[in-house]
Amino acid sequence: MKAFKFRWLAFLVALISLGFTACSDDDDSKDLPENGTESQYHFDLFLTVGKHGGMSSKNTTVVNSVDKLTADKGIITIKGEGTELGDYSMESISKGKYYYQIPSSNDRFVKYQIEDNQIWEIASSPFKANTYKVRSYTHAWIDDNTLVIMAANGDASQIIWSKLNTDNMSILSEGTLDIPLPESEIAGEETRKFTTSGILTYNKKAGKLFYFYYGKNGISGRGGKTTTKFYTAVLNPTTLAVESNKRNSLADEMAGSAYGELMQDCVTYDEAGNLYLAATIIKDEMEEGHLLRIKNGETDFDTTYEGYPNADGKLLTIQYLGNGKALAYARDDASGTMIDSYSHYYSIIDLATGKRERLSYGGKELAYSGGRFSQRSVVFNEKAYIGVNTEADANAIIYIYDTKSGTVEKGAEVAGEFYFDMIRVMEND
Amino acid sequence: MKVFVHVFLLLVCLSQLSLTVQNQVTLSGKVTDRQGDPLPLVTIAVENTTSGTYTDDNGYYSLRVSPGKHTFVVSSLGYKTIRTSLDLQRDKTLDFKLEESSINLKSVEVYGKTQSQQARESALSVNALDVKPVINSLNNLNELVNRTAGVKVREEGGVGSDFDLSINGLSGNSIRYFIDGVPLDSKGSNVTLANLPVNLIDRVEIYKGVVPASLGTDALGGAVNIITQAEKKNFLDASYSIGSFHTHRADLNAQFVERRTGLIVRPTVGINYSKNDYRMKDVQMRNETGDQFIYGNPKRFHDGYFSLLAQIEAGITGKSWADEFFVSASYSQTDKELQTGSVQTKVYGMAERNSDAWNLSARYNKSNFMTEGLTLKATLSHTWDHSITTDTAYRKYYWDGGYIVSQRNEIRGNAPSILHYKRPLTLARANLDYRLHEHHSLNLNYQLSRTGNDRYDDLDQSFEPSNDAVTKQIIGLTYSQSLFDGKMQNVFFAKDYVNHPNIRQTDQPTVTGSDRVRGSTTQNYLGYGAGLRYQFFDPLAVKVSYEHSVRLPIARELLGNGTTIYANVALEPEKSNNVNLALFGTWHPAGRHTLYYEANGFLRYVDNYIQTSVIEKEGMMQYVNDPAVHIKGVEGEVRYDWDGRLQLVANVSYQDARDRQKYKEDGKPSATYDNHVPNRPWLFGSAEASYTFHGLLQRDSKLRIGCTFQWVHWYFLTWEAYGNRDTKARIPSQHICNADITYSWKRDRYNIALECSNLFDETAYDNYKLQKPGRACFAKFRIFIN
Repeated sequence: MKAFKFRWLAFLVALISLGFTACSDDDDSKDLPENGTESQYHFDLFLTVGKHGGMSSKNTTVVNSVDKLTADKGIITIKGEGTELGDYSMESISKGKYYYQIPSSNDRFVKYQIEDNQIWEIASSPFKANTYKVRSYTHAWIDDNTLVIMAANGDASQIIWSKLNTDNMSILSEGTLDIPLPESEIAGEETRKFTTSGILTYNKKAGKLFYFYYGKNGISGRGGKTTTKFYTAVLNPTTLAVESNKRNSLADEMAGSAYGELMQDCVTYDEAGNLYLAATIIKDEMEEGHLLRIKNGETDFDTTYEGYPNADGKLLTIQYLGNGKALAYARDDASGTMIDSYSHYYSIIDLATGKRERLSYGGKELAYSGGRFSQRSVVFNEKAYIGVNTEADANAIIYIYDTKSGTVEKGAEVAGEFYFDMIRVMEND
Repeated sequence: MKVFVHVFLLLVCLSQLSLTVQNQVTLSGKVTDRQGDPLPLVTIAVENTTSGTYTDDNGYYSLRVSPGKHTFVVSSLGYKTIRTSLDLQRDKTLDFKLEESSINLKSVEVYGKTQSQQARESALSVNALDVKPVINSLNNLNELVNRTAGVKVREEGGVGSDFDLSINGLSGNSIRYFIDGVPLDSKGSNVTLANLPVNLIDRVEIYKGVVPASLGTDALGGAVNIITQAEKKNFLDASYSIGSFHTHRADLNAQFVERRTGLIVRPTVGINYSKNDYRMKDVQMRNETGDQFIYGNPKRFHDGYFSLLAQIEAGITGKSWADEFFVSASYSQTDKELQTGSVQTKVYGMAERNSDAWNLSARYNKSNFMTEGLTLKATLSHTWDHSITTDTAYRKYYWDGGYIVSQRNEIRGNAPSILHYKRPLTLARANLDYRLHEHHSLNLNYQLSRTGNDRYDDLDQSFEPSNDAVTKQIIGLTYSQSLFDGKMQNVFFAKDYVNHPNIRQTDQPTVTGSDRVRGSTTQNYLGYGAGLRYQFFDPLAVKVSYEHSVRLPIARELLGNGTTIYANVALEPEKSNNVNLALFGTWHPAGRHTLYYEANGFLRYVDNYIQTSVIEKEGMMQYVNDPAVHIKGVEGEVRYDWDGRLQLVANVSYQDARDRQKYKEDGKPSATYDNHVPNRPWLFGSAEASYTFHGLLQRDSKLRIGCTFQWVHWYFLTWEAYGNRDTKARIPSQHICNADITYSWKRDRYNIALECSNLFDETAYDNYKLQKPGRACFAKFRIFIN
């Protein structure tokens, strides 16, 4: 018994030390968890009943908090367990123990915690000047307790922002970005609107906020068109003054134009502070994915760089794995572009060369996964937990990719009768 | 409009035709007693026929018969019967003087059946509600309908709030509404059970699952048919009601008969107004500095409601060429401030919805049309319906009533919008009823409806206008039998639904299905059903009915909304197999005691359910066909009456609705398969008691004291099997008591009613986070002159 206890203790110590060593290199400014002992964290799995959650659906999303995602966890379900999101949207910001969002009441900024099968509102603050609506904004953390929210206003003619102190959700400052509507590049069309949210991200190494946006003709129905290539505005993180505002010529649209990164990660950073952005060129009805880079210290994209060459479809998410590698979730357009087409797949990208490899297990490439709007992968403690929902498997399977060794092991499963929409790593209370 | 003109011309031609075919004479006159005082309600019958009439309040009668010899029987209780034979070749006036009868009548108990009771005992599953007994205290029809077994009305708030009525578990577009057999939409989409003047109404028939073909509709789950008063005399019925939350209601319904020409004019006006400023309990609002939320009980501050329905109907009855011919014009208007969105946490302070509608219609009834035993009923109607949703304010309101200037409008959070919907509706209906034999009849019903859908926005330039139309034709054939001395009644019917969408959209064919369904198409769908009733004896009867029902997609479902909803022109109609089995009976255990009971079991197997689905493009939806729900249920109702004084009613309903969608959109088994469908009441009941005192304070007066109790078991908002049961969102149980007292005198000429709803001030919810009013008091004054 003593021997067993000793081994267990040794294992824990090893885990903790592993965590600390991994932590040292991670200088990412995204809202990823601090690496640490796994026992201090848990995974929140967002599963939806009936149809997909999020977006404008009214379906029931239930969050099941689990301590691990290894194979011994078995099949994860929400039958009789988990927390209903209720008025809160699935698209949210998370950091540490807490989630942050603008709930469906569209009247406040709120900080909450999911614990004991309940949602506990920790702090909230009514809007004061700038107003936002649920799931239609972008965000960036400037430091551990300063959050910037940004979105187009009601008629999408301006970009508004609010800076929050997340300790108590008080509004520190608010304003409007000093950028004009970009001039239309399409004959006969006028730019009337900005993108709904655009993408805001903070490059901690560079100490700058980057905002990506483009122009639209403002028609919300079938006649809706993008009128410009996307732009990059570099902002002062203190004042949000626009320091530069440049049109890119490498891609048409960046990913995440409507929901920011509230659900899917489309911006990532390497250790050197280089920014990588998932983007798209629309060619003959196909959305061709591209991965662009802004080098640390620069304000525009590196025209010599192509991180995702010869794409067969849209690049949906990108997450940094460490050691110059990233995890990409993309679509093979030829295999289907519907929300549940089994045409999506994960790859490991070498960011330096753009070389990529389909995620494999047991020497075989993993089959295509369903789920266009999903973020079923998370990087934590030198491991990437990747949820794959193939047509052949009854359940979604979480594969665990070791970022150091590149090995893949099979982890827990998620019951196939639910829509497995999202996974987050959260700090325990 | 062309269709309207053509059908109208056809009607005119038909009426002329009937003039030439029919050749009748009129016997008319006055019936008095020996003192010369007019005798009302005296029967003048043609012996050995079913023809006859009765005298009006002034003793006058008028009876049309074919030329030739007839024996007329003039009778009234307490008077000697007169029999007289006449050879009538032309119109004749003949007065009768009745002598009082000296015969002592034996004491017998006579149990009459109201039309509502007769409807309940028909072969189909019908609940019929008499409005007359409660008209003095009733403020809107929803109150009454909501107390019916198997029916649940879920209101979102106070007076004029949106509501959803379900019959045996099916609701929304599955239920159709009629007024005297004509779709209620014809009065305007803003006219509902909640704002229709109650003085106009005689009774309400609720068809559960099986809808008679004569209504000519594509209802999936049932229909509500409102029957208006059909008095034959002059009358004026006016009422005014005042109540809590600045609520005022006024109804006027009258009839004037011009005796010389026989012209009948019926004006109707109904007005509702309420500020709906009831207190919200325990909601979040801002503190004084506006930087924190606190809990409070603020009053609603932007929930005003006004509705007006004005109608004038003019026509004649009892002419040789028409039993009834009426033309009517109506105008309806609704102005509604919007206080909240789909949940009360979304607070609005400026947004509003305004609707108005004009309607012109004509109806024509003729018995013995072209041939003996054939009755024609025809209706033609056109409605100009216009709704505007105004959402222009850049404000964000909070429950404290204050607001901040915002960057987006209130409802959609976008640019300012004044959104118009113009939905012209043309209806034509012809119903031919032919009595083959005393016990057999055939009914053929044809209904055509064309609904336009013209949408545009005055301000929002991003809104793409659309203008689509859907035409439906529904043909129904019914065969009815009455066998074994009326103990058995059978009805068999078939309906042909013809859908005729005019599809002009050709873009995105793979999404909208326009590559499969092009241009102007016509699709046929068949529905059918049967009903059987057998009465073993008064206290025990059984009835069973079945319908394979169909609901055609509406314009929005088929053609999208031009912005956030894609068209799906290949959308199939919803279909359902509905079965009812009921035991019922009337028992008279002793003199003056009557007990009526009904126990009903039902099945609703719905398929191809039309519901929204999120599709690939962000924020876009589309209506798709899904396997739907199977609903099983039982309900029971007991009514007791003692001497017309004490009335007790109780009912309870249980419904088990389960999802039948086996697979998710990604092809894997669905978690919801065979689960209880959430967010719907599944166990509820109500009870009523009333007692009427006669001759209190003065002769011919009545004092009625009544109370009602409604109970709904709590239910989950979402799928019950998933998520922690203790913390799942639920709609709490309701226990609502209402009480009323009504005093009427001078034979119901003057009436005063006091009502207190939600007596114990319960916090009530029909929907998740949409609080209903607390305790409210109303006083209603009604005068009825005839």
